[in-house]
Amino acid sequence: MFIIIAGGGKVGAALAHDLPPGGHEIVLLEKDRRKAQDLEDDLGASVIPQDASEGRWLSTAGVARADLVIAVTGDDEDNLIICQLARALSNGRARTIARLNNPKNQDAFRLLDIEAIVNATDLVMSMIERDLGAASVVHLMRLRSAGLELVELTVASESAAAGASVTDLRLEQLGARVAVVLRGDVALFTFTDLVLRSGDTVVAVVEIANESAVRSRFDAAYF
Amino acid sequence: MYAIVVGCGRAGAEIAARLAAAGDSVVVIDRDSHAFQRLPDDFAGTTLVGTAIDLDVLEAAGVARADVLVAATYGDNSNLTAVQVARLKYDVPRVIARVKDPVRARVFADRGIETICSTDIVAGAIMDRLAGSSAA
Repeated sequence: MFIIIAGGGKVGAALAHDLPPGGHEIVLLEKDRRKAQDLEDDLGASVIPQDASEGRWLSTAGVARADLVIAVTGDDEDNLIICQLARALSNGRARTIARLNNPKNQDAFRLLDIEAIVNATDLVMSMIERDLGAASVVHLMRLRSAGLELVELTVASESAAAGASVTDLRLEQLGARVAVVLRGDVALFTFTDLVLRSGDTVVAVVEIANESAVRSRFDAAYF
Repeated sequence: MYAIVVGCGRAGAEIAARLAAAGDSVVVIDRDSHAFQRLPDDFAGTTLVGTAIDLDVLEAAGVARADVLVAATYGDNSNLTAVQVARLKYDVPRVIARVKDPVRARVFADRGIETICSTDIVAGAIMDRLAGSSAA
């Protein structure tokens, strides 16, 4: 896959570093020349020391043949426009993911029809909630156009899911589909009759509207 | 006419001042209150501190009844975001974005956004002058 990362801050650098090496081609755009040089030295990746929201540099980076453009600058307006520009300059070929820095700007992202929004604040909040035991769901990614999101659900003891099989939970009736069950370090892709245990993690695609109903099956029935 | 001008730099302040002088109702938005010093002393419009990606700020500016929104900050992306939000969410009848990058101006013009590309205009004007002087 050919991936363009716009923004070489902590998030962009971590992405470039951590994306699995197999077959990916990565170009990173970072407008701060010194940061760009450091990134090139560290990653050995191809780094263009220019502003990704400037059309000509996105074109230089090869946006016309990009499969994925990830906009992770610290500026929400920049991320929005980079994604729109990337869609247009690739004739709709490139899929786009935008980082949302300020949750207040979420409405604008939705209005401008950005397909996938990664909201770091939501992510951190749900991790905190999980650690506090208040919720068992972590939002991984929102697939806005389809009204879906990818979530990680942790099976709480005393929950409907603990002791039940994935089939028993009838999640498809709630517009949800399980992708994988994680037990410790093991990913279980065949889980139809697997009995879920407290502590298992389930990664599922969920209709946003039904998230709380799905979540209730995984949370402890405290109340 | 009720006009919202986003950005009170040199261009934004000039546009706001001219509209107000012509008798239009004008609200100018800038994230820095110092920017309003660029407005003339007798400016009859109102000012508002904030950014136009913030729907609360747009609503405080009366976006729902605006006839026109002009986005003239120094940031192309802020301008393009502001005019799209104004049009898509609030149906502002006329929106114009100042855009410096010619590629971005063309891409968004193709999507039906009215853009003014200062780079194209200045380059074109200078080329015209040069062509005029060489012909003379």
